[in-house]
Order: sequence, then C-alpha cells, then structure tokens
Amino acid sequence: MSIEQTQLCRLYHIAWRNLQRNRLRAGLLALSVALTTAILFGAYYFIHSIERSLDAGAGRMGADLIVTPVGLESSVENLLLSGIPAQVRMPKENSEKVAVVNGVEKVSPQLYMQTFIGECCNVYGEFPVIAIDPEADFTIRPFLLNDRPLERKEVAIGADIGAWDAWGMAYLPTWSESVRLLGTNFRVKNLLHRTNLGVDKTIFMHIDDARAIAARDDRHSVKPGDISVVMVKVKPGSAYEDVARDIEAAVPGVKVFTGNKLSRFVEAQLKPIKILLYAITGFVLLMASLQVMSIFSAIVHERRREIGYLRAMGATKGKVFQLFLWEGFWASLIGGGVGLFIALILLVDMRNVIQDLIPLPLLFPWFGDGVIVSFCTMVVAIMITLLSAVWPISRSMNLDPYEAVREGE
Amino acid sequence: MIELKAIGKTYGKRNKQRVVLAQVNLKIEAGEFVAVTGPSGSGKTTLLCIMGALLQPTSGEVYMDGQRVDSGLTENERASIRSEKIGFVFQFPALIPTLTVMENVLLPITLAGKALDDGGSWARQLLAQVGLSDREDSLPGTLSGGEQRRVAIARALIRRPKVLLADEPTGALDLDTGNKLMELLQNLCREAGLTLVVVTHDPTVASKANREVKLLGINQEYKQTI
Repeated sequence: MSIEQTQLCRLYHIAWRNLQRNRLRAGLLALSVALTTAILFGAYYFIHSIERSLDAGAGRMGADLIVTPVGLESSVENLLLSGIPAQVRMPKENSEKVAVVNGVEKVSPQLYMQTFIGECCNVYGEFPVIAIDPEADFTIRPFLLNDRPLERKEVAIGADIGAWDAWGMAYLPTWSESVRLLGTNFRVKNLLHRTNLGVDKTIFMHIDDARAIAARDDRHSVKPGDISVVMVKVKPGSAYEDVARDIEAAVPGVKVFTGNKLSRFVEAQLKPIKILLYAITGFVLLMASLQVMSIFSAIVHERRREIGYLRAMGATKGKVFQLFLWEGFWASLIGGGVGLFIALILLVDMRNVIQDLIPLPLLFPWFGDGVIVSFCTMVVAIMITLLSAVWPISRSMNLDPYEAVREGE
Repeated sequence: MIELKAIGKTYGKRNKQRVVLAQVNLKIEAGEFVAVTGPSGSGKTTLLCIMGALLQPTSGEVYMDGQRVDSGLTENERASIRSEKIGFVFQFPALIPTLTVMENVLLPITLAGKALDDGGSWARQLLAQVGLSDREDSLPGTLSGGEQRRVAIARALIRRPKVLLADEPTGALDLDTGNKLMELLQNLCREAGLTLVVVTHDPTVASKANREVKLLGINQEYKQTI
C-alpha cells in the first residue's frame, strides 16, 4: 500500500476494519439488525398492502358508487364478494347518463356474461366472465400484474385460475395461453394479483368482444346495447349520498349503492390484525434496541483500555464516539442490506405462496413504492442501531482515560 | 519544559481516600531524559499521566511549555495539547490489530483530523529509524513484542511532539530487546531534541537517564537523584 493510500485512512475506514476484529460479535450485531429490518419491512409491507388492497377493493366496487338495475344490487354484491354469477342487465345509455350527473368524475361500465365452466390455464372450474371497457376501466387496473390495457381477443384472469408456478411466482409463458370462451378463442395476456375476493375466480374480457359474442349467439341473453353495472368514481369533495341521489333522480330504473360496504366490513375485520402488526413491530424494535445496547456495552467494555490509549494519543471524546458509531453504522448497513434482501425474496418473489397461506386481501406495493419502503426501512434500522449504541458509548466516554489506560493492570 | 508545583493526588472518597502523591515539585528542562522510579503503588504512572494532561491532580499546578494544563482547559483543549505536544508510549503497545503498521503509525494524524503535509514520508522515515521499513504493510499480529513496541514509539513520534512520556517501555521484554529499545528511544529523542520521561522499575534504564526521580511511596518524601 502506498503512503498516499494510507493517508486516506479515515475514521470510517478504521471502524470498518475494527468490525473484523471480533467477527462473531459483528456478525451477531449485523444479524440482529437484519432480523429487525426484515420484520420491519415485512410488517410495513403487510400493513401497506392491506391498506392498498382496501383502497383498490373500494375502487373495484365502483370506487365510490355502483349503479345497478333496481332490485339486483345483492346479485352484484354477491358476484364481487364471492364470485357467484349474476344475470344483471340494463341499457348502456345509462352509463352515458350517469357520466353527466353533477359530481361524477369517471364511469366504467361492466357487463356480466355467462359463467364459463371448463378449463383455463390448467385449472378446471366455474369462472364468471365480466366484460370491461379497457379505456374507461379504473376497477381491475390496480390489480393487473402488467400495467397495460386489455386488447381485443385477450383476457385477464384472476389469481385462482392459474398462471402461477409452484413457487407462487407469475409464470409468464402461460399468459399467452389460449382459452376458448363462449365459442371464441382468446389469449390469456394478463393476470391479476390475488385479492382473496370474488375477483380471483373471474375472467375479464374486452366489452367489444362480449358484444360480438352476444350478437352472434343469443344463448347468452345479452343484447348488443346491454351493460350490467356502472362503476362510478365521485369527484373529490362531492358527497357520495348527494351524487347517488342525483343519479337515481337522473336515471330511472337504477339503484345506487356505495361500494364502501365491503371495504368497511373488511377494514373492521383487519383492524385487530393491523394493531397486532404495529404492536409486534414496536416490540421487535424495542428488543432490537436492547440487543444493540447489550452488544455495544460488551464492545466498549472490552475495549476500555484502547479507548484510554486513543484519548492519550489526543483523540477527543467526540472522535472516539464517532469511531464506535461508524462501527455501528457499518454493521447496521450490512445487516440492513441482508435483512432487506431476505424480506424482498420472501415477500415479493413468493407473494402468491404467502397469500395462499394468509387468506387476507393483500395487494403488494408497486416497484417504486417498494424501493421507497426499502430505503426508509434501512434508514430506520440504521437509526435504531445508532441511537441504541449512543448510551453504552456515552457511558464509556465518561471513563477517565487514565483509569482506562491502567485497566487490567 | 514541564513544571510540577506541589502536586498531590488522592483517590477514593471521604474515609476511603488513598493519597498517592503529595507535594511533588519537579522541573524538567527541554531535551532532558528523566527516569521516574519507585516501588509499585508509589504513583509513578500517576505522575506520568499528570504530566501528560491525561489525569488531573487533586492539588498543585502543572505547566507544559509554559502553559498551565491541569485546570482552566476544556477536555478537548487538553486532548489537543496531548495530540500536539505529547507522545505516549505505554507498557502495552496498544496497536489496532486490523490496521497495518503504517496505518497504526499514522493513527494520531487520523484522530487529530489534520493531515501533516509530509505525514507519509515522515511515517516512513520513522519506521526506517525503528528498523521496520519492510513491515509497513504488516498487521501487528505478525510482529514480535519488541517490534510492536517499536511501532508504538514511531506512532508516538508521528505528530512531532515536544515531550515523550514512556511508561515501562521495556516491561515484559527480554533484557537484550529491552536495552536495544531503550537505546533506540534515547537516540530518537536526542536527535529530535525531545524531552523524555520514562517510568521504570529497571535500574539499568534509570542509570541511562540524565536524572532519576525516585518516588518512595505514600507519605514519604520523594527524592531526586542526579
């Protein structure tokens, strides 16, 4: 090593080397931080995904309002909750009338087709078929694995139908699998994240394909101008009840109900789980903090004499303090990285397996959110390590350098 | 260079007090080599640490280069004086095992946070003087006890101090190695014009000093032998 290189030796460099002095202890410290990071990340991921799922769930139920023919609201709700097929029809003009009602931001018509009984993507069963208008849709879009609109002769399938491999990961080749629905060949081109709701058993097709099928074959009891429901997104600031009343007044023969019923129900069910997750996270952070304190107490106690020597060499308390903090930083950075990596593998790559094990409406964050959450988790884990290390390091700084130097004599 | 006026040091509180030093007066001139001797527990290391602004006396005054260092200074100011004016060599070399010899020698510069313009070449020169030029990239664990002490001496001199305070520098070394180390220490200090204060039990080491300060223990007078 050249002189120039050695002169670059700084406190963080010494701290990094110091970690190698007692690899077992440094490893245990890093492992403790890794577990903290993984649990923190996992807990946040679950809470975040539950909340996102609730938001998306409300969106699927019409975001804010669902317009149905009078008397058929319960059929619609059954379909959305449990996938029980429904025969609900009303003219498509209703969608246009709803769109112009004061307070309505967006409308998305849907047409409930006949239930498909057969095999799709190697899964045999009864699958409700819903036709959507991809241009107007804001309902299933948050759930699509690939954020691309559905095109003609394509279908998107729910998570229960297939296209997941044995590890619970999206099995890409099956997306282009061919399926014959209602006498027409389609290609499976998109896949929905698991929701543990009726949508998991549903096949979605383009509304123009549905109308083409209906025009060709009257056995589906669908007229070319039919739709089943209109999903409505209300403008921010508008009262749901007022808009619902205005729609019912403007469009005869329809009933409007808020889509929040399901969300409220699920939210009530999930509240204790969320509280438990927060509590567990809090306890884990507390335990991690105590562990770091304990490990750092041992580290500084073991190196009391060295602290004395450093002080004798002219190091201020602040410099010695920084040196130990840097050691904590490196250990937590390594531990945090490892913990995050493990958490990402478990939660992102194997999300479908987890969702099979945990029957909750989970919807994992998108990549961008995941990166932000990862960064925040790392920062929190590092901060907890550093803050927990402060107390034992501070105590050792109070030691008289003379006593420290003579330690063990 | 160093002046101690009526220095007293007491450890413990109230009825468990132990007087280690009482009324010690000492003046050490620049470039002088002083040996501090005495039985165990007589306060030799305590006196050395008081001289080095590492320990505050219970009573008395300490002057280093005309500046009072026992009171009126903050902890950081005392650290600054230790960093700039004093080099310590302890009985244990206290090298950081994961840093190379060169990095250990440069450690006081790192801790001071102020780079010397010629820090690198001066460190190399010091290592040559202590006979370890070829070991600058070695880790301390691969050096013998004597070699580690020599690294510690080079480290103590890296900031070009005015005073070198050594506590049992030859302790735990065999006679031959100890003698060579003392010779090295003396030569380096002579060449640089440093004041050298050595705490020792070894009469051979003490005999090489310009002056011997003998501490006789609790409640006894100390005496100076020239």
